[in-house]
Amino acid sequence: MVQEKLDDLLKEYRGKRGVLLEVFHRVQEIQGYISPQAVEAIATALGMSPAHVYGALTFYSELRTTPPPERSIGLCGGPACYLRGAEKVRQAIEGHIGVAMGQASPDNKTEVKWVQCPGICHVAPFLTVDGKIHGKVTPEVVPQILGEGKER
Amino acid sequence: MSTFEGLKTDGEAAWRNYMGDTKPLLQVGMGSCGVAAGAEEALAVLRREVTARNIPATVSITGCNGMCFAEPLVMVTREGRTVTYGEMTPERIPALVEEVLVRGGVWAEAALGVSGEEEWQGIRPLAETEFFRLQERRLMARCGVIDPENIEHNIALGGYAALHKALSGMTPETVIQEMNQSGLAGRGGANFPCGRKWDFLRQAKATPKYMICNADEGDPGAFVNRILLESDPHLVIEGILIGAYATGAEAAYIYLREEYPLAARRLRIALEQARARGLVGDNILGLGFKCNLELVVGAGSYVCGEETGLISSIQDSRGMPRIRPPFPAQAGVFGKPTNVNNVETYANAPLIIAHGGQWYASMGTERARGTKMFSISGHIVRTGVVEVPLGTPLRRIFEEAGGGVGNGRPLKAIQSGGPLSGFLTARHLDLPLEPQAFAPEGVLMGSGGLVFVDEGACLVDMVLRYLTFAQDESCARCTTCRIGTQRYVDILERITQGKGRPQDLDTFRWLEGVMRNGNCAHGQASPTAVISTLRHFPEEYEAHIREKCCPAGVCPLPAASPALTR
Ligand SMILES: Cc1cc2nc3c(=O)[nH]c(=O)nc-3n(C[C@H](O)[C@H](O)[C@H](O)COP(=O)(O)O)c2cc1C
Ligand code: FES
Repeated sequence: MVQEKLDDLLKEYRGKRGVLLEVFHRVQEIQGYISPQAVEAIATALGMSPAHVYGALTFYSELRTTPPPERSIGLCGGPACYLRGAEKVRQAIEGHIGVAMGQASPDNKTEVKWVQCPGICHVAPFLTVDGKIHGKVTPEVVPQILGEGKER
Repeated sequence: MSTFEGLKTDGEAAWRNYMGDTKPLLQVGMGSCGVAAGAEEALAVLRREVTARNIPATVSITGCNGMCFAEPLVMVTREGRTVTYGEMTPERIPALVEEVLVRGGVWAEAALGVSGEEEWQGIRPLAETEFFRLQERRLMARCGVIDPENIEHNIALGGYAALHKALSGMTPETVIQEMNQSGLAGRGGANFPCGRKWDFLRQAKATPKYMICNADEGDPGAFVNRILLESDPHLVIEGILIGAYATGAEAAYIYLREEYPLAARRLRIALEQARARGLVGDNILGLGFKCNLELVVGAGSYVCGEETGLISSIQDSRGMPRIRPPFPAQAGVFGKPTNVNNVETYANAPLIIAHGGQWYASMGTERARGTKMFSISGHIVRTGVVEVPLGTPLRRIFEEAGGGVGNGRPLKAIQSGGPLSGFLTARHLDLPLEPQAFAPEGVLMGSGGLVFVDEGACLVDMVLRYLTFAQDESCARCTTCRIGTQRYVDILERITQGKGRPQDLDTFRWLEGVMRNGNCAHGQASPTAVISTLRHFPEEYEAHIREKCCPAGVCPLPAASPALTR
């Protein structure tokens, strides 16, 4: 299924240049990450060496080379969020789920990571759970937000 | 093939119909700032209420007018006057419907202001409010006014007229002349004259030539490009096309950071609409000019905002900056001549071509022309985006537009220009906002991010965060930057733990000299946060190093010197 989708996708890009980032994004949409097999397939389709593709892939922090966790928690690492209490929120998240910032749980169920400031500094500090934004968070509401996230 | 006159007629008809003289129009502010504050839910509730109660009204969307602090915003237009309502969370929508649609009046307590210059139904003009009165809205004229997903609105309110003017009546040389006369300098941080850069590309011999719009906006706390791309994407596209015409570029890329998915969506819609109307592609407006425009979305790398890193990223490689020269005008995308400008730089071009370089140059200061957008955030009452004439005192932005710190604590510092710049003190509030006034203080005015910091913050800890960012984002091509940023982080960490040594400060200064040899401005400028705070806030380092205390009580150290409390 995934393989078929990948093959179809890569057909669109065969022999083109200036498209690698787009291919990465689309493969990650399909697979959730970019597997070693996908790296080979991309290399063949675009006429590059797998090493070149892998080199580009590992340059970017938002591209994954391993399967994504079931749940991804992001906390903004930008200045407004920092000034408005993100550090205390970080401690609350780590305390609540027992996973340290920048890490995933051993069963790959949950990860916690810093995210870049997307310029919504009026809701600082904010965290995201699987892309959903929770703004103006305090340490006190963290269990509520993450509890809710667990059930889904 | 559409003629411009045809597009204009269609656009104006669509706009008249939209603004409607019979039905009221309700627009929910759907920038990502609005969405973060609950605008999607507010829009859903509004649609439901209007349908369920069978009220004749048009429900639509708009972008952000810069008042992020009051999101979700709802703009209600009736009889040609638009009232902006703030904090229209889903819970407050039914009351809004009741007040303005059912009773047919205004909801005075929730109104932020009305369009136009005169009071209307007891509501004062938005333009007279503290947030707006210092502003000169040119780039942002359509932000929070039009539906950004509708090209006809943009055209009805003047969009693409400058492109048409350039293509139908100006030579590329005269376009560049106007740009030179305007005095417009790049808005991405480096402040290089835009017209001169376009001329370099024009003069380049090799073909094809490329235009690149730098929409990477990686500086944390900067979101001026986001507001433009989400609220009036066609303004930016028009500017890129004018640049392509002036320089002879046949293809253009917009390189957008991946943290802006809504801007990506709006740009895709905008490009599709522009292509369908013959505004992008072969034979634009039937006037024989060709330019294709593609969107490339990044993947979370800050140095891809540096122009050579960006170019490398577009051409399928690791996004690592390289030593310049050669500059992009000589060797850019796929080795071909290329011009890179920031989103806001391009957005100025239609204004300059429409009104003339001289008109543009009459705004701002002798050495910094035009208006500039600034995003204000941190310890400030009103977080948002303003557009002001260059030269406006920083104090007016902080006190009037921003409303001050607002929590009773005094202002301590101002971070301007992102991670490659540094910190100013409250004493600098009287500086005019122009790059030349900031430089002697050892910081950059930068691309528009202003972060206000109150006395409750520890600058040593905050600078540690900035240098950690610089270290994480170093591409590691040059040892200077890779190891240099690491050394700063190690030493700063030690200082925040009370293990600082007096000679650390000398190391900071020495290391800055070493890092000047970095390949690109990322390494060269990363020490600025440290060096500027050493200069303007030496007492903070002294307290941590000599007295082993953190006066702000942020670091894991006593708040006052142990020697004194003993
Ligand atoms: C590390 C680094 C990151 C940068 N990020 C951006 C950015 O996000 N947006 C931008 O317009 N310029 C950025 N720049 C500046 C660009 O290299 C370039 O000067 C700019 O895009 C030129 O456009 P302008 O002349 O219109 O300002 C960055 C520079 C460096 C060194
Ligand atoms: S600092 Fe977190 S959104 Fe800007």
